[in-house]
Parts: sequence; structure tokens; C-alpha cells
Amino acid sequence: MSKAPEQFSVYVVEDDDAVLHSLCALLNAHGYETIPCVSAEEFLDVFDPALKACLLLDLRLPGISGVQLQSHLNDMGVNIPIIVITAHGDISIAVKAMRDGAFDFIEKPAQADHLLEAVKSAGGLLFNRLPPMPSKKVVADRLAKLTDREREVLDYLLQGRLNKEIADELGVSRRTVEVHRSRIREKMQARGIADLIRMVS
Amino acid sequence: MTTSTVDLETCDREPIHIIGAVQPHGALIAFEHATSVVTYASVNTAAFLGAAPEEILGKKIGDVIGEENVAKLLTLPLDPSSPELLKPWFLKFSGADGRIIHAECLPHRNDGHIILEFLSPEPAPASIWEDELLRREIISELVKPGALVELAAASAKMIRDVTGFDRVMIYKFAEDKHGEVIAESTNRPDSFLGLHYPASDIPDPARRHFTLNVMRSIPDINGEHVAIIDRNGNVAGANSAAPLDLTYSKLRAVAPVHVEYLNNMGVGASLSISLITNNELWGLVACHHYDTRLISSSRLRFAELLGGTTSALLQSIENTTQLKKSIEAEKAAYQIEQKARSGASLRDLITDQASFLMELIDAQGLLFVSKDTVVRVGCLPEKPLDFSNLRDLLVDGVATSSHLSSLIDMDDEQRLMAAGAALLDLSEDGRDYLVFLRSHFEQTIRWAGKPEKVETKKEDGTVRLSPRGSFALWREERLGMSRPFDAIDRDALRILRRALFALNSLEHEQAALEAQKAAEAEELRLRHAMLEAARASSMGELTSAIAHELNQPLSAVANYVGACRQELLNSGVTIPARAEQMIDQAIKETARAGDLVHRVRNFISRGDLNANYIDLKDAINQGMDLALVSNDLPRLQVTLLLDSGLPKVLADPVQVAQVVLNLVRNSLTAMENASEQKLSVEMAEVDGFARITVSDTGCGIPPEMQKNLFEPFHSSTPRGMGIGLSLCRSIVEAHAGRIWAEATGNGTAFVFELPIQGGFDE
Repeated sequence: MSKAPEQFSVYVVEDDDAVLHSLCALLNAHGYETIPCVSAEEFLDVFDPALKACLLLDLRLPGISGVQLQSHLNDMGVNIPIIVITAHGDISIAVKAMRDGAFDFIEKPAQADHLLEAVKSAGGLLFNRLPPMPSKKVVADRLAKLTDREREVLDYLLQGRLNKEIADELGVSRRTVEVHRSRIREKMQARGIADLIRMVS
Repeated sequence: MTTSTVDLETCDREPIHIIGAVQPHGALIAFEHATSVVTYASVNTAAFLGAAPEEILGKKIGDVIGEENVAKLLTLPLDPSSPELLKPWFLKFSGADGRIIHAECLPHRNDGHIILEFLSPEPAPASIWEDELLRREIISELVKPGALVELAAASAKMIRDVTGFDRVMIYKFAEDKHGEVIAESTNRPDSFLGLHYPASDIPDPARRHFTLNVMRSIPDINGEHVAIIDRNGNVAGANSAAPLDLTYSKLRAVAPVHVEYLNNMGVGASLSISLITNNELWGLVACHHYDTRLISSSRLRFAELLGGTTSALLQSIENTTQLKKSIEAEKAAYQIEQKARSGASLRDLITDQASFLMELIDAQGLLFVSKDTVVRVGCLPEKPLDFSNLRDLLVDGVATSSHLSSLIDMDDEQRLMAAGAALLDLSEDGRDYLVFLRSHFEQTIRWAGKPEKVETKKEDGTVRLSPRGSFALWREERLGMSRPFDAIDRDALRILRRALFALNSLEHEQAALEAQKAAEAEELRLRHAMLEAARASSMGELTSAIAHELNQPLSAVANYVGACRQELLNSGVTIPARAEQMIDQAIKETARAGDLVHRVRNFISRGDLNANYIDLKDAINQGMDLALVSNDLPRLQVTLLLDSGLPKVLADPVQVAQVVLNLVRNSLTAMENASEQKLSVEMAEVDGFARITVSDTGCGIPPEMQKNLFEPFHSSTPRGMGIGLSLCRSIVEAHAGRIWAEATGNGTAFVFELPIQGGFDE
């Protein structure tokens, strides 16, 4: 594995010591400088706007929550790329975070590849290298492949609705919704919701 | 001569009892009881007492009829009794001219005077009418009939036999006081049977006299008035300073109006006997003779006896009829009560018994209205009627009218089918009632002369005080009226009403009781549902928390393993293929474990939000109640301050109640050992949020706990796993609200806010 070409730091904000430490270890191993914080408060203490850095933010935190921190940073005009880490099922919060300008989000337990990819992209953003993004035409072509029902499910997903809610809304089983979701991911060539949101909005 | 319009009602004010004269077939003297001085005398005393008035007036009564007779007189029953019966006293004394006077005297006391009325004694010895045996036979004839009309006919015939009058009629008075001839015995070709006489034919003062003085004999309608004078020679009539009250007098002269009335009918002599039942003037025996007719005292007395007997029998027949009807009504009421005991509703009972009840009341239609039901049976108009005007006539819960259209605006169909109605009020609030309807009753009343035309005009055009001049038959069609509801009907209605009212009240009470039970059951169900939901969501929260807690180390393991491999690569170590495989396997296993945890969490879900626009007060109260059920704090004081002006909030009532339940339970636990145990729950609107504050005077929160208060597994109490507050946070956040704790001076306040305007998805 190659080292990150340009050196930049990653603030990791995570209240669980083991998770915090292991994340830092993983990132360090891949050549990133990490600044661990156990709370949003601590992050605000050590945050240095001059530093080239991205923020790996757990949304569930005691005290100031991840969501609150994000909106606080927005208010202050801090333009740091934020990768949000969420637990399973917190999709609606994640979607909100994305809407509020988060760069990406990752579900826990995070797969190393996914995490590293996200951090790398954030780095690219910092160095004015936008992550590869399919053209509008490509996205339109992919969207055209979706069935009406899949379009409908996609709309719900983009609203941050849970599988169960979508299933109730459409009057189908949860299992069916899951099948639709995986088809949508295939056809759109998306890794997850974050990609979908980025592509469609 | 007066020129104003007058009618017989003028007579209602006429003082006929102080007319100041007697009829010529007898003489009257009166003396003061206290002084025994004769103060009044009719001017014809010479013919009956052998002494002219001037020889009597001012004397002691003993000087007139002898002391012995006075002594005897004072032992006689002198006070008028009701009904009055003739109590003749036969006496003899020496007149002023020295001859022996045989007299028949009717004495009575009135107003401090003793009035003596003298009649010519019968010339012949006692007639056959004095024969007891014959009397008994006649009376046994009277006792036979069982029906009113038959009795009246028998009585009329017998009285005519006894009195020898040309015509004997029996009148029955209706409730409006008009009279109907229900029996007649006559030797004349024309008949008055079935004719009606207007109430004004017998003015009220006369009616009063009929009850006080049951027997009235007028042997010669046109007989001269014989004046009664006082000691100054003045007539003791209405214009006198001291008129003599002749209320109980048998000889009282006839009022001019009455003379004219009888003359108009061509009557020469009259005899009337009042028929009195239950102290009311029921009717009248009216005897007419077309010539003068003076009958002997003994016949008069026998006629009186017959009248009295008839009265008594009438009363018994009437009472029997009434009793029969009342018994039937009681029976009906009893049957309904019995059936009600088997659980039938009043509605069903009335439906079931409708035809029986209608028959009892002689009604053709029945209408039962209660607040949620209407029963219609029989002849009822299509268009419903508003009975509120009839309600104004309620007496003891019963109102009747035989002329409903005079009370209520009605169309033709209504007038026909609901000519008369009886309304029974069945509830205090007047919402439940039963109505019996009587259909239009084709009724032709044959009046003996047109009742309205009572005044006559003289040739000179002046109107004169006049009784009716014409007795020619006049027919009146009574329209829009039903058969009247009489006293007997009303008694039966009252009996029915009493029973139905009681049943209805009972039914209402039971309904209220059942509603209360249902409400209690519903509350219990809600409580169970809430406890169930509380358990489920605690379980969900617990699972969710475990999932989170397990996810953390799993994440760490995956991260560490990934980091490890990279560090090895970074150090230039070539990882053996088998080790590389195992590293991949380890990472895969953490993912599998994560997935497993995820699936368990999804399986035991926290319970979905079931939101509605609700009144938060109700949810808060429910949570409070549930929390306080198991309260055993000895000194607990609860303050509840809930602003009721808050709009409805989109929220899940069961979950909000759970939050309150958890917070209040925590507060109670925190106060277990506190000297002051004050719990306060408040709700108010703050900046578009409903803010609910649960504060206690408990032990407070130790500083080291404050940070993780709402995290799972950080129990704030010695018991429990520390799920409660975490659950509260989950619920509040699911409602897009927030929750926090504040230290107060002497305890803790937990505060949560829910957005009043749509706090869900944006």
C-alpha cells in the first residue's frame, strides 16, 4: 500500500477509547497523521484551522453531539471535509449530515477499504482534486435503467427513510425493499447511499 | 235600563244569597242567637205565625213561639251540614191572636242568627211516601244498575214518580262546567235527552249554592217576592246596611235572571237536587213542571233522599270505574316492571306493550322518545310534532290536551292524527318522554240553544240583562279535537308515568355505571398497553445499546487487524499467504459479528412511532398515574401544573407517557430517603416547544455521572441497568425534541422539549 502522497491530518472524534485508538492505528499505518479526540468539546479545543485536515466524526457523542458539532462548524464557516461515522440504522441522521455538507459517511463497523477510500478522497478535495464523479449524462443513463418502483424506492432512500418505513409506505415486505435497494446500487454503480446522494443531487 | 252589553256572567257577581225576600209558600223569621231578639221577619208572617212582623220584630223569640219551643229548638242540630238535608221540626204554639198554630219549621244557624222558616204543614196525615217499606223497595231498584246512565235513568223516573213533575232530567257536568242531559223522564212529547247546556246557564254563585244547599224548590216561578224586613222596616237585601244571609235558606226568593231563564223555557215550577260526588258538584237533578206545583214536605224529603242515594251510588260507580282503570294501569305498570327485571330495555318494553298501553289510555298512536331512540306505534302523523307547548301544562309529569292544535301549529294531517295528546315526562331533563295520541273525534254537540247568544235586544234597541231566549236545538261540530282526557285517564297516566319514570331513571343509572366501567376497562387496557410498550421499548433500547456497545469493540478489532497488516507491510515484512488469508478471515468475521448484532437489533425493534395530534396533558397524566400506582413514599406531595392552552402536538402518546413514567419513577427513587418529598410536573410553551419539567427534591446527580446520564448502561439509580434515560433520549429525539437534566437548589429537574409545529422529517 502506498503512503498518502500529500501529507495531511485526520481529526478522529470518537468517544469509545478502543475504537478511537484502533482507527488512529489504521490511519497511521496508512501514513496519515491523526489527532484523536474523545469528544466534540476536545476537538474544538485542539482544532487548528490552519492545518490541512479532514474530520472523521462519530455522530453519537456524549455532550455536544456530532450533528451539533457539524452545524456549529458550519455556523463558524469552517470548511473542513467531514466524514461521518454512524451506527447501523442511523441512516436518517446520516442523510441529514450529508445534506448539511458532510463529505461522506461510513457505517460502523467500517470496512478499512471504504474508510481509507473516503479519507483519501477527502484529501483529494483538500488539494483541489475532486474525487472522480460520473458525468451528468452517465448518471442520467444509469437512472434510466431503473424501474418505476426502483425510482420510487430511490426517492424514499434520498429522503433518509428506513427500509421498514419504505416497506410500509409501498405496502410490500422489507425483504422486497432490500432487493430493490441492491438492484439500485448495482444499476447506479453506487457503493452506498452517500454515492447515490452525491450523484442525484 | 242599562245600555251596555251584558250576559249571564254579570250574574256571576250577583249576590243572590242576600236577595232580601222569600218565596210566598212560607214565612221567615230570624233572631240573634246571643240576645234571642227577633231581628228579621218576612212580611207574610201573619199567615204562618198568626202575628204580623211589627208584632214580632224586637221581641224575644220565646214571646213568639213559646219558651218551651225555644228550649227544644236549641237542642236541635242547627248548623248547616254538607250535604244539607232537610230537618223539619214540627211544633205548635199560641199565636198572637190566641189560636193554636201548627207549624212545620226548618231551622238553621248562620252568621250569629238562627233562621226559622215556616211552611204550611201538610193537611193530610202522612202519605204513603212515609212508608218505610215502599222506600226500601224503591231504593233497592236504584241500587241495581251498575252503569252510570242506567242509574241516572232509574233515578229520574223514580223522582218523577215521587214528585209528579212533568219532566225530570239528570245533568252531568263536564270539566268545562257545561251540562249534558244524560237521563230524562217526562210525560211531554219533546225530549231534552242528550242536549248540552252551556256553562253560563248556571252562573258560579248558583253553582256554589248548589253545593252548599242541595235542594232547591220553587213551587211557583212567578210567585210574588215576599220581602224580609228588619226592625226599622227596611228590606234586608243587598242594598241594606245589614242584609240577611240566605245561603242555607230553603225559601229564598228566586233571582230575576233565573225567573226569566225558566220563563223562557216555559217552566212554571222547578225543583233541583244537587248530585255531589267526592265533594264536587257532579250533576243536577232538574225537575220542571209547566204549571205551578207545590209538593208536600214529605215528598220533597223523599225526593231529596232519592237524590242523596243517587249521589252516593254515582260516587260508588265512578269510584269503581276509576278504581278499575287505576288497577289496570297498575297492572300494566307492574307487568312492565316485571319484564324490566328480566333485563329488557325500556324501549323494548314500550314497543312490546304499546298496543296494550294504547288500549288502556284509549289512544290511537304512541310515541316514545329518549335521547338516542324513538319508537313510533299506531296512527302518527308523518311530520314530527314539537311538544314543548304541551310540556307547559305538565302537572306531576303528565300533560294532556284534547285540542292539541290550540297549543301547537299543525298541518291538516297532524290535526287529524294528533287531535289530542297525553305527554308523560320520563326524565328530569325532559329529554325522554312518552306521548299517547288520540285521533280526531267526530263530535257533534247538540246544544239546547246556541251558547254564545245570550243577550237579547229589546224593540227599542237596548240590550237587556237576559238569559238565553231560545232553547231551539243548535248543533256545533267540534273540529280538530279528540275525546277528552278525563280525571280517570289522568290517574291512569300518572300511575304509568310513575313506573316508567322510575324504570327510565334506573336505566340511565345503569347506563352511566356501564359507561364508567367501560372507561375504567379502557384505562386499564391503556395502562397494560403502556406497560407492554415500556417493556418492549426497554428491550429494544437494551438491544440497541448492546448492539452499539458490541459494535464498538468489533470496529476496533477490524481496525486493529487492518492496521496490523499495514504496519507489517510498512516494515517490509512479507506476510505469508496463509497469514494474509487469516487476517482477511479475521476482518470478515468482525463484519459477520457486526451483521449478526445488526440483525438481532432489527429483530427486537424499539417499537415504531405511532404519532398523532394529541393533547400532551393526557399522555403526561397517564404516565404520572402509572408511576404513582406503586408509590410508597410516605410524605410525597405532588404538584401538577399543566398549561391547558397548548395546541395539540404531533406525538406518540404512549411513548410520551413512557418518558414521563421513567422520569417520575427516577424522581421517586431519588427521593426515597429524602426528608422532603416534593414532586412537580409542569408543562409550558417555550419558543415553539412544549417544555415538560419533572423536578424532585431528591439526592441529586453525582458530578461524575452527569456526562453519561443519557448513555445506556450508566445507571443513575442503584437498581436497573441504566436503560431508562437512554430510552427517554431515544424517544424524545425520535420526536425531534431534546432532553437534559438540571441541578436545582434541592434536587434535580429533568426537562424535555417537543416541537409544537411538525418536528419530523424535514
